[in-house]
Amino acid sequence: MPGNSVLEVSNLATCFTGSAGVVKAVNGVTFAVKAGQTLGVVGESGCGKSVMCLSLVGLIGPPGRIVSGEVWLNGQDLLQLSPKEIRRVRGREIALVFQDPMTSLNPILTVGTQLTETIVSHEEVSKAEARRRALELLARVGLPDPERLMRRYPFQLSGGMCQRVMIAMALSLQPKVLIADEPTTALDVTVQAQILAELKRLQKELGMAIVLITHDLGVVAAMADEVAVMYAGSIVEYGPTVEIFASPGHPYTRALLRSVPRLGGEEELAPIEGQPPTLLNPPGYCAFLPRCTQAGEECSGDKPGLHPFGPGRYVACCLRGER
Amino acid sequence: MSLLRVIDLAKHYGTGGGFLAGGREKVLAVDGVSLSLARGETLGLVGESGCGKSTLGRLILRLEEPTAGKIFFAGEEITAWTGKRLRELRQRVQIVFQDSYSSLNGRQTVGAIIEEPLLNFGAGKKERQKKVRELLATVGLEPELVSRYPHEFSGGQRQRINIARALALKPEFIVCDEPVSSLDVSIRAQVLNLLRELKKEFGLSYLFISHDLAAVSYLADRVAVMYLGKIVEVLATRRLLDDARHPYTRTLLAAVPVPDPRQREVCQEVIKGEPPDPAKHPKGCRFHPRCPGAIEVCRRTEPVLEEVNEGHLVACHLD
Repeated sequence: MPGNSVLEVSNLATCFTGSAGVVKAVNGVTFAVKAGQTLGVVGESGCGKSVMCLSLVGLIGPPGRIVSGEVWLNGQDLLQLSPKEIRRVRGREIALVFQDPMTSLNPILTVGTQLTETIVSHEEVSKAEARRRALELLARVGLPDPERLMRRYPFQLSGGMCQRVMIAMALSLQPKVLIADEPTTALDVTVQAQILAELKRLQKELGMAIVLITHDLGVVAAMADEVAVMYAGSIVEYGPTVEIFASPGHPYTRALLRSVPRLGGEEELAPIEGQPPTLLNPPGYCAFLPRCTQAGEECSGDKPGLHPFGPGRYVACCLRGER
Repeated sequence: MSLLRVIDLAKHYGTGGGFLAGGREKVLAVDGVSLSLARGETLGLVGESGCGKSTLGRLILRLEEPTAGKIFFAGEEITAWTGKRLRELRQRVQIVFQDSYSSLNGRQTVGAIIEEPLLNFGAGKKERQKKVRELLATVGLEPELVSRYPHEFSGGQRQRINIARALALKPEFIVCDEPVSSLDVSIRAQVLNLLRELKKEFGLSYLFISHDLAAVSYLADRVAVMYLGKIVEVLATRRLLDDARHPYTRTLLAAVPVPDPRQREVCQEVIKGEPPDPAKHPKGCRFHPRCPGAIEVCRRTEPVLEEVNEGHLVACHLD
């Protein structure tokens, strides 16, 4: 993994323990992101990507527990910080944008109050100064008439506008890393295009690193410099976006690319048979084995870890990309 | 003769506004839509939130009363059918909804759910149960699953159950309203392929409603694009990328993210403004406030949907 990264995650594992057993939501995840770059994390529901986001910023509570790993940001391992310390880091160094903006914003506070509160609670500035910054941020994320918007409540805004407000809030403390968990999934496709263009522009201006979680391969292709493909709690493939799309190394990545309808595409879609596995009491072998059309004798052993597969590329597959 | 024909169909909702609000605000959910669907065809209906596509689907199914217009099915006018005639229509016209979970009664076994339509239309118990097992097999589920409950299945499997139920009465026409939108990416292809096979096997016709252009283009023969209650363009799917003329269609196509990192810059041509409020219609062409090429006439007069090429209809003054 590169040494000049702004965020480095190493062997992160998060479990939820209940009466039925242990859910290994995040099962040993390792990745890094550089300043000004975007890492796309692709995965379907149940792959652990949302739990991973929450783990990075210390938002996992019982019955969940981070059982191992390191999250290095600015020379600090976030997982070793006290709740007080992590609260200071969260927002200022690393910020989160969630999927459903309508439920992420406080419904009983105006946009202005929420924004200024965020700024004032983290920085030593006057309310007037915080207000000035808030107005600037709203304009920056492309929202019209910021003065009027400050007085509005979330329910008076459309999904796209709420999401921009979320992004404004996330950027209010100028974080080094922005983690966006399916930020445009709930939005119309034209609004999605606007928001993604906005994120790209802001990234350029601020030199921010972005970790973008999505199930949409088109969004990954448009936004991510590097991709981590997640399956059943682990990263199964990692590398530059262009290369992974051109020649995917893991059977899951390959199957995913072949199963997605494309505008103007002529080929028959090849679905992946079966379902994604449950993360409850996972077996010790490769999680993709039951659905893999290329599995062989080599796959009967233990779950494979990530292995180098070309410059900057890694694959967790017993076949190492052969076949 | 077309299987389905809709002429100037409209559905307006008054939005109360309260005693002191004066005039009532009306939501013109569907506002003068005409289209036709041939037997054996899949017509895709695309548009973003608030465009009226789901309402149009419900009107066609007679799940709601139209405010104006006519609906013809297999040559007969069904606009005002009620009672027995409407029930008979339901045998021929079915629906598959988006939310596979809330479409199924959680307290009934899967077998009972699929059997229910058969109960309403008279068939002996043994015959019904045989049919239920056949239907499960047809949609790729093991017949032994008859005694399970909906919550024991995954989203993709539940959608198959919905499809099995829709097929129970051997319909001619199925309205699919966002059938794969809430499914995982790798499962969507399973259901899309199933719909395709079933169409071939049973000679079905589909109205495929979705905001997902790529999914629609996979199944549909023709695509109709809706904006704020009106159809703005209709053309053959294979012509979509090269020949689409309406500015909204073109923006929609440009906005769809392509799973190809070499085409990243396409994302740059973004549309301005927000999707419109269905209760507030601009004068003239409904799209003009966001249209990059709007001219004077666009602000004054609503364009009419006209044929510009064989099978290609556009409602735009710029043509």
